[in-house]
Amino acid sequence: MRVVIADDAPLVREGVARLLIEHGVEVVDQVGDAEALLTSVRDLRPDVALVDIRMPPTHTDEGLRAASDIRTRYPTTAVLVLSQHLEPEYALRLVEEQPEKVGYLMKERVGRVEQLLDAVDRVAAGECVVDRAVVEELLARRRRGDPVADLTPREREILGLMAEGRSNNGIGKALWLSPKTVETHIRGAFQKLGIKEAPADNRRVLAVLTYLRR
Amino acid sequence: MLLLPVVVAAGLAVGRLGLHGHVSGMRVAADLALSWALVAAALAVRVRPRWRRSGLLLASASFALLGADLVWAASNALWTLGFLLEGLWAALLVHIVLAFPDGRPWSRVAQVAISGAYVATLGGQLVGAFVDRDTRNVLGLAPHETIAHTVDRTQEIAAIVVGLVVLVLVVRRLRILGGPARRAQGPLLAAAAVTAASAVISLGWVLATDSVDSAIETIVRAVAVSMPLGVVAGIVWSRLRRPELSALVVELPTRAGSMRERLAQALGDPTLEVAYRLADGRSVDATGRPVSLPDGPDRTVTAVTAGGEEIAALVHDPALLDEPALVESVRATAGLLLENERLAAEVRSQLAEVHASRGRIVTAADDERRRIERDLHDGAQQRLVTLSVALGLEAARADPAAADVLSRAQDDVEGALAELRELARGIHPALLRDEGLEAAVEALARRAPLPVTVHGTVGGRLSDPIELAAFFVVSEALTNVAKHASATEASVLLEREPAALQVAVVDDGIGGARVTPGSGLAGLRDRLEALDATLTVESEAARGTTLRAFIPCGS
Repeated sequence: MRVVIADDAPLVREGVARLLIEHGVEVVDQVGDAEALLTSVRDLRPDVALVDIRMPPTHTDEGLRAASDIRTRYPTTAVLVLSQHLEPEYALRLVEEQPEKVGYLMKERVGRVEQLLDAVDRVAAGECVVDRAVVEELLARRRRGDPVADLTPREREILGLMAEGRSNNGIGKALWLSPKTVETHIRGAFQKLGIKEAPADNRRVLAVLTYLRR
Repeated sequence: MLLLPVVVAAGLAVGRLGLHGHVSGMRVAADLALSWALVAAALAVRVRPRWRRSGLLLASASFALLGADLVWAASNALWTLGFLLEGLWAALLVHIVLAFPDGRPWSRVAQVAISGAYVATLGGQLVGAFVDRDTRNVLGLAPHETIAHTVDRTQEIAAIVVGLVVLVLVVRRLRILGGPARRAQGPLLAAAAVTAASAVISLGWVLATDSVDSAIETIVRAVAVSMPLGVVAGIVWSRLRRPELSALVVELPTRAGSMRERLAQALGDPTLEVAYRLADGRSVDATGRPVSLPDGPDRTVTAVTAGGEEIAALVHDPALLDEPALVESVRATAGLLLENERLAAEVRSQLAEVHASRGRIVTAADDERRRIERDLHDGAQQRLVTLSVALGLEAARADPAAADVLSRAQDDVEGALAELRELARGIHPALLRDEGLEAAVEALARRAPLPVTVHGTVGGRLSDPIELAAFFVVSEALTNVAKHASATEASVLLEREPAALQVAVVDDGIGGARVTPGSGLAGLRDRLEALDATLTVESEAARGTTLRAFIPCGS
């Protein structure tokens, strides 16, 4: 696994690099801004680019824009955006464009190495990853006549995992359920929410997120 | 004054020549009438020092006309002189009109028309003199019938063009002139329009029939008499209005209307403006807005002083300079009134200043919020993330007991980051900056502890202060709803109207919300007023609360 890290804070950048290297990930480059990142991805074609959302020059959403550039121009490179924003609007911007080989992870996850590695592996494998805190933010919304409130705890749990980008297999493993049971719960949840047909895994993330954001 | 007998005598002499030389009596009468009227007008304008140059031109026109009539003399030399001067009087009349009243041409076009008139008349005659075959012509060095004819036609065409230009310029000026200038100059301009029109028609006739009809020439000259009469009429008309204006001056203190309107009426200049001089030397209008005093020939500035100090300036039509006594009496009467108005304007100006400074304070505070949010991200947040990475590195190598301690430390770091995130969001919402008002309001609605629906759109991005103000309206309102309203639900309305953004937050709670000093709503109102926005609270007991803001945002 070859990874490029882009973050304008050198301490964070180097720390993450060490963490990844110690767990057998090959860190091929470290850069401090979006421009250098694009050059690096062009030259090195890493499997994953780990990108801070906020970088010079404007310190706003450079990471998201770089992610979009990388995904269009270098489709073999997956992008995992690290962000301090809990608002789902940012994650949706990333996922809406192309819900494959992209991920949106809260920045503090870098300290939980197993979560970071899991996300890196999943985006590299083509999945779409959304941080569970972001999904929680959406699930917590109070709605009038809320269909989400009608879900059983299990269905709600599974809905959350779907929004995080888990496949049926992944959900089954996480909850110790058989794929068949997972499917039954998904069907039940979708029926209650009025979502028609369950789309394929990655498209499903977008459908669920969009539904929850309403 | 010496002019009058000279011209009368010269006129009589020329007239005798004409009658002796079998020129029509009507024609002689028309020429005498025109030349004497011109001299009379030249004498009349002496009452207006600013019109001196027009007076000289009027007198010159009179002599030019009599000079042209020297063709009636028996002497060949005099005939040639008369021939050369033939149309000069008409060119001088063009000059008088297009440079009236102070002798400066109105515009570039007027300047060109004046030059054209001189070239067509004097220049044309000079060229013509060399080729004219008349036996009395002493300059006829190369007589040539066809060329002479061509010169005549060219002169006529040029004269028609100049006549049309004069007509257009005069009509346009008549339409824009107002007040005292219109009274003083209107009669001449009207006369000039009629004269130019009749000249164009008669020249057209000459050109079409290829024959000179002396009856038509006589008619044009008779019509031209109206021009010097117009000059005199303008002076008389201005004089006639004077008692009326003086009465207005006396009534200045008691009349209704703004000071500017009253002064404009008293001076008969609707374009009059008043600029008040503030203690700091700036000039402002009655509303306190800064104005700059014009400089240029179109406007004149007259200072008004009180107690040796300049308190105001009247910006008016230069034509008022012809009425120094009137302006002086207005200055004397209006001094005290203007002083009062000036103080009022000063207060208004200070108010505007305070308003502007409040806006700057809000902007500065917002900039500061943005800076703090940025510092939190670059400083504390970054350090905590670094710490988190360090803990993660240690945890990977630690034995199970130590790993447990490190994991709890990791929890604390994550908690601290979450709190920091909340803090930064409250100081300056990054989502508002990055994604705009609608997304930021959606986020507020989502995080509220009760169902909140958002209606309407704002149609794209608005300026930072407007977005921030609207955001704080919704944020403050939803905070209050959650804390005090006991509501089951709320809704937010965003509506972009042509000149304002309307933001309303409605709940179905117990009502009773008020803006009390020091409250969040009071702070919000201050922020909104800095943008000229309004904030209203409708909150009757048991009928819910509606917080509504209108934030002007141009278009």
